[in-house]
Amino acid sequence: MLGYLGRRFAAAAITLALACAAVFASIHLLPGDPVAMLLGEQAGADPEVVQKMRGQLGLDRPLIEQFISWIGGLATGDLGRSLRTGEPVFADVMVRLPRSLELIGGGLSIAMLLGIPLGVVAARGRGRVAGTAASVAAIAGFSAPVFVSGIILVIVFSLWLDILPSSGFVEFAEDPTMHLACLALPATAIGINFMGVVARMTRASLSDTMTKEYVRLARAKGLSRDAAILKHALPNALVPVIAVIGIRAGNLLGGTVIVEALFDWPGLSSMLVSAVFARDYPVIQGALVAIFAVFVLIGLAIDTCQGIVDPRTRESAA
Amino acid sequence: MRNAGDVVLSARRLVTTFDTPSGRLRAVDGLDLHLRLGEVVCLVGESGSGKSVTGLSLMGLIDPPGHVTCDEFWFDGHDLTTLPESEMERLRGRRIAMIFQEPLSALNPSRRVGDQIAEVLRIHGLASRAEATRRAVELLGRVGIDDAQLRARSYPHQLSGGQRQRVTIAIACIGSPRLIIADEPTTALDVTVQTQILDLLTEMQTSLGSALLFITHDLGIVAELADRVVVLYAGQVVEEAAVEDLYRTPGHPYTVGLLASVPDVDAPRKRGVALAAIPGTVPNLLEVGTGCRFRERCDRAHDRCGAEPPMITLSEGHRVRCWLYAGR
Ligand SMILES: Nc1ncnc2c1ncn2[C@@H]1O[C@H](COP(=O)(O)OP(=O)(O)O)[C@@H](O)[C@H]1O
Ligand SMILES: [Mg+2]
Repeated sequence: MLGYLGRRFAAAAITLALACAAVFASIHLLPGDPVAMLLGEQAGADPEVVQKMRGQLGLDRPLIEQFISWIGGLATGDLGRSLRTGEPVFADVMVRLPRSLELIGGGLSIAMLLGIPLGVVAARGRGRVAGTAASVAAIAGFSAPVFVSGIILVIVFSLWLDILPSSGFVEFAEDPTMHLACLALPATAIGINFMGVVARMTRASLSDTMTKEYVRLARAKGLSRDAAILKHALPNALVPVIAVIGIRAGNLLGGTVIVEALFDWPGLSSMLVSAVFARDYPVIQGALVAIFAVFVLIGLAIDTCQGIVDPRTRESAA
Repeated sequence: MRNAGDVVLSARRLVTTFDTPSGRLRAVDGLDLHLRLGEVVCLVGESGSGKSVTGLSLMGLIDPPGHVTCDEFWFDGHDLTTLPESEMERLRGRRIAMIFQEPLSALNPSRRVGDQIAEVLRIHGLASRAEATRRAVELLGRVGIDDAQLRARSYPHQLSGGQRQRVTIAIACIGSPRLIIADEPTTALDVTVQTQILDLLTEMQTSLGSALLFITHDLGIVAELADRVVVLYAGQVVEEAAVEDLYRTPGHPYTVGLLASVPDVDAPRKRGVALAAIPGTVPNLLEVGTGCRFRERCDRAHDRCGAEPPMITLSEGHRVRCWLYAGR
């Protein structure tokens, strides 16, 4: 198990390094001078300003040197300073990262807490009313775009029932209850959208696993059909579900862009979006690296789960 | 023949149907079966003749769209025609157990084999967790797995095919069942391993004093294993006899054909003899009408065979479903 985790860790580190290189390259190698981009129309007017800016940003040095110093900065937690505010990017990322993780974690938990039972009911009751109802619910959740489910949630819980704030953010340390109340709707919006994926995957995988001979043997041992499904079929059926959740983690991150904007949640995505509009490129770089890091971490967490559930994964995965 | 003990299972006119899109299929059609403690009964027939469905029907493990009916069905003092499912669950694994054909797919890939054996005792509340584990390891040793303590912690994919089947035998035996149903337990194994598994199975059955219903299509195994043989064809019993009677005076033309396809009955160690040596195949169960189901393939068929053949008793315990013996 430890060897398996070690290999997954090394793979994750390599992925992250490649992602950082890609982030760097996308800004420095692609056509279009970031400085010209930054300065907009005035750029052409005053070459001296451009030159000064380049020096200030270190863009006059050879590319490889720039890359090494940037990576070096990354390693020591220095992501440069915001062009707008002059604040260190790293500090801002570290403030916003937990907020986005919270959103993703909350959304993922809701998706699994609702999606897995829904998938089980759908698979178990195939051809019966409960099963069909569960399938319909799963598909409905799956097909509603996150901004639609988000708006519906606001209408129901903020406007009609008036029990949750429609948007905003309060630090946990300041007011824990209010913090969680603010988190509830955006996390649910992400969760409901992803729940459909989880439910459909669970249904498909469990329907297949339920027909396995070892589930029949479990019943031959004296377990009821439901107990055999829950104890023997479900754990194995969840292995591919977990894998798909990992692959679809991008959906979750993408979902946060819309949800953070919709609910005014000051996470990484909203940081990235405002930085792009302001052409604050050290912030863009820093936010992208952080988002990739989240991606890789989710993948690592998924691999770890799989290794725990399925003993064969631990041995075969090189 | 070993001394036959008390009747442990008795089924009369067992019928198992499956509702398929193209109609109702009678996979088992009016089977009579009586099993006594201590005896080995072989259920023989070609692939598709309804052997597995019979085994699952006896276990009460036929799921919709399948449906089982039975005029009379007694097991170990319980009337299974009226027994609620929750009571049946208490019998399964403890009083009646089953071994499947493919040991790898019959074991849960993500659970340690020791736990899978101990689970039977846990389900039925027969032992504490520690005690169940201890007895599972002990039984693992008895079914011939070296280093049982260590092996109990293995996962199924870490064991060989023979070892896996030893594990499923341990699962079947740990509850001390009165009846073990073994559905072609050696078909998926190497020939050399087959003999060891058969020896183990009969050894366990003898020490438990239980009945063994051994399902096979391999007549080489039947000769050395069975006390009695039930020959199944297209869901119906066509012949039933003590093993000596069946080999000495086979009655049904199907049985005769089967035996003729075994190269040398006196050398039963030769295994892997398939029952396909009779020309033709088992009829489509959706299309069988009235009359003898074997008549299309039978070299002694005549006009009478278009009507349902009667079950005729040739001698004590020797019954044949064939017109050849009618009116004698
Ligand atoms: N779940 C099922 N649904 C429909 N038909 C089935 C099902 N299970 C078995 N059958 C049919 O029952 C017949 C007997 O099958 P089986 O008992 O597996 O044969 P055997 O074990 O003798 O090879 C076959 O024609 C098979 O197609
Ligand atoms: Mg079979």
